Amino acid sequence: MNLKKIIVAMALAAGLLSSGTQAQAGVVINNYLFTPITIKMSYTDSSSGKKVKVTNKSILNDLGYPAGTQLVYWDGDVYAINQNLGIFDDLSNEGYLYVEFDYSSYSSYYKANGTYVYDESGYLYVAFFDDGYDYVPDDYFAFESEGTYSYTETESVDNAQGYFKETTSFSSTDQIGDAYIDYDSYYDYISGSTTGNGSGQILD
Amino acid sequence: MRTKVVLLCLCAGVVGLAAVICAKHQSSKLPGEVPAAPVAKSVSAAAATNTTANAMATDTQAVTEPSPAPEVVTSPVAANSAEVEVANASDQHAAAVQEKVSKLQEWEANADAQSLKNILAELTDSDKEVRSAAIAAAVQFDSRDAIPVLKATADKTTDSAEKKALLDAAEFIALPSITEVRALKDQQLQPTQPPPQADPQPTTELPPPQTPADQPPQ
Repeated sequence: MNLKKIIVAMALAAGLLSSGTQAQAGVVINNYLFTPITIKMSYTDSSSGKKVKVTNKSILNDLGYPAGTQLVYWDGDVYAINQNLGIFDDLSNEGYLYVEFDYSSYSSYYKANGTYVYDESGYLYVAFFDDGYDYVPDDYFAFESEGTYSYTETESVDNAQGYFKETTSFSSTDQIGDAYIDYDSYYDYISGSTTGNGSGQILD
Repeated sequence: MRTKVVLLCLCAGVVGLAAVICAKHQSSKLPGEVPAAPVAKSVSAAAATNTTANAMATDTQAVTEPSPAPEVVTSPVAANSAEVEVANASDQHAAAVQEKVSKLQEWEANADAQSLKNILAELTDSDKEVRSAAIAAAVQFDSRDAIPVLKATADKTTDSAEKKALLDAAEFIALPSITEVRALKDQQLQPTQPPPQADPQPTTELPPPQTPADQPPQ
């Protein structure tokens, strides 16, 4: 865990001290924008032949998190956060859930009003292991998928108070991979999408 | 000596003329004009934008203003102002949509009836992006109570792509979840109960097994 993450984790442990400050929308914690992500996939259960849905809620329920908990992405890791209950868990660091961007191209420009726009595209890897370790036989449910993605980040010019509006969004709608359930003992095909969308006011 | 003086005067004249032209060009810019982008990467994009703006403005002026003199000076400025307005409007629209999307993201994480009601209400928002986000939120909320509303909304929708998205969402929500499949599997994996018999085994406490000492004398 790098220093920035330790500082944020400590700040959050002290009671999510500045979460929501200056944030009209999105998840801004300690002046960092966390991007809510959405996982929507389905796989065919080999034994029954039926399709099974996988959503954020499926994943969070599987890990035992209560309602109101969100999956968010920040600085290379996925977090489970529930600001009302003070939950802030780095799921990637604990080996549960990974969202990894491998960019192949990027560009940036300024709009006429000074808003900075950064675009990126490449391959997105998403993986979930409900016992916290990479594919091991006792995983109850796990999946790994990959697909192309496009990512856009914008930063407005500072307002009079020194805040700028940051937005991030990404989309990968062609995710495909394998799902694994231990009682089946073999892999099922999984497909779907992983997207993210967040915005907030950040102090420059 | 005489030649040198003449050359010096000529050079001074050229420099002076250039300075006057530059000053005139600078004073023609509006105070609100966006400065050149500070990052090297963006310079080419900004230059391309200005070129496009010039081209667009020239086209417009060719229709509205026949006199060539003011065209050269005012066109880029007018085009830039219009561009700024367009960019601001675009940013404002994106911000309004984003605010609703963020609320939808909060509601979809909940499990209460009011949150579902709020999500379903956004299925008929005037903005297509919000409606699309509401469909995604209904999927993530993951309640089968949403299915009739999604289907009813699909019936009223004329946009074929949106209709398909609504019906796909309803179909997806109807699928079993991991938790449900797990519960079903757990049931199947449990040892099977013996079938009920005509003469059922006594469920009450069995009498203690008889030991040889307890056996009645023959």
